[in-house]
Amino acid sequence: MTPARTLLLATTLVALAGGAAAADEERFSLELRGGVLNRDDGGYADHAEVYGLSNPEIGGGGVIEGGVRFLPRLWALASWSGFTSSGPRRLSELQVDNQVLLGHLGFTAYREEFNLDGEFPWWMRFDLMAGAGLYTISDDLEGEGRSDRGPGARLGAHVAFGWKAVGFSLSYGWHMTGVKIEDRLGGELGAGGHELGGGLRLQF
Amino acid sequence: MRLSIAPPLLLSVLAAAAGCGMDDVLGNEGFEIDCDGKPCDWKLLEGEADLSASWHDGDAGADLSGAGRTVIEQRSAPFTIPVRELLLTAAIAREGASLRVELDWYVAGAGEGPSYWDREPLLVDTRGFEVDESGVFALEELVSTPSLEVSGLALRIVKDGEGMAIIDEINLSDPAGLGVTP
Repeated sequence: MTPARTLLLATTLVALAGGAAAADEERFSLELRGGVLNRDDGGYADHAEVYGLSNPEIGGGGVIEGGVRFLPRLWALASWSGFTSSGPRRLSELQVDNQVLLGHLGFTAYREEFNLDGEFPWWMRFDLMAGAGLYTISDDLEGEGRSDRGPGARLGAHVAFGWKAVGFSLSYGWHMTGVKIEDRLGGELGAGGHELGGGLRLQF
Repeated sequence: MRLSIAPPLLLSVLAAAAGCGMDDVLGNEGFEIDCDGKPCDWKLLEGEADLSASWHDGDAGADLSGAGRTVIEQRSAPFTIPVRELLLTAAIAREGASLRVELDWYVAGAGEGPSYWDREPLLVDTRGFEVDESGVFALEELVSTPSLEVSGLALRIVKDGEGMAIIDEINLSDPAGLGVTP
């Protein structure tokens, strides 16, 4: 069996194993998360620190992610995320920005609705996601900078809980890409890394 | 009871308390202040150097990489120092080439002229050290001045041999925080 067929079969089995969805279960989701990205550093961030600038390894930013459920436990999602870091030194400032545009496949591994005494119905869910798309990264110091763009992938795990259509989401994502910027000393800073976030989830 | 503190000491203590204690003896420590296309205060004495970039294209510094001997210098005067030991810090990238820091310490001269250097200052001593560490690192080195009376300095960065030697963010200050007075 070819790898593609194996993957298709596994995906189908996983989707069926998830069971049927309730008639009133949500079909659409929208998440707005704030978070941090700990970028893959190959010396660039350390060099910036040695030369008196703040370490740009960790960037702050946010994610907008929307999805639609197309099988009982399977979701198709798209997301945009942007992270930035800036390190001032006297009148100069080193700024590093990266953006990610991804398409994901999500699997709801766990979903439960609770209703304590019938007074406060709430829900909780756990999703696993795999996505791929476009990564960009650029830096700027005194008008000079470098940039790079290219493909990459993300594996993620999301926990969310909430009431009716409104929830709170916590997420972890591992970004894997060869997209990077280089400094004059050979140090590299990648657009990939580990992302942690939290924010609002709306589902309908 | 009357508290008696010598005015210079009182000024030093007040300056330190006000956060002015780490004033730099040197100027243009980051090579970023521009004087007609060249970094102010720094002079290329020997060899070839690119004084416009360091670790990043947008960060000015002294790139002394290449073959042969290169010397850059900054002269600073007049200043007063509260202690004989000062802390020299710098950001350095070195691989292969040798790097040496030399400090000529002067006291004021009795000659005539508009500037400290025109008034024939007297060279008290030349001191220095080799930079042994390699890679990209933040240098911290205590340097001892020959006397509290010194008021002029010629600091030279000497690169020899072939390889990478990039230096930036050169700072010479009082580690105790009482503050030098440039």
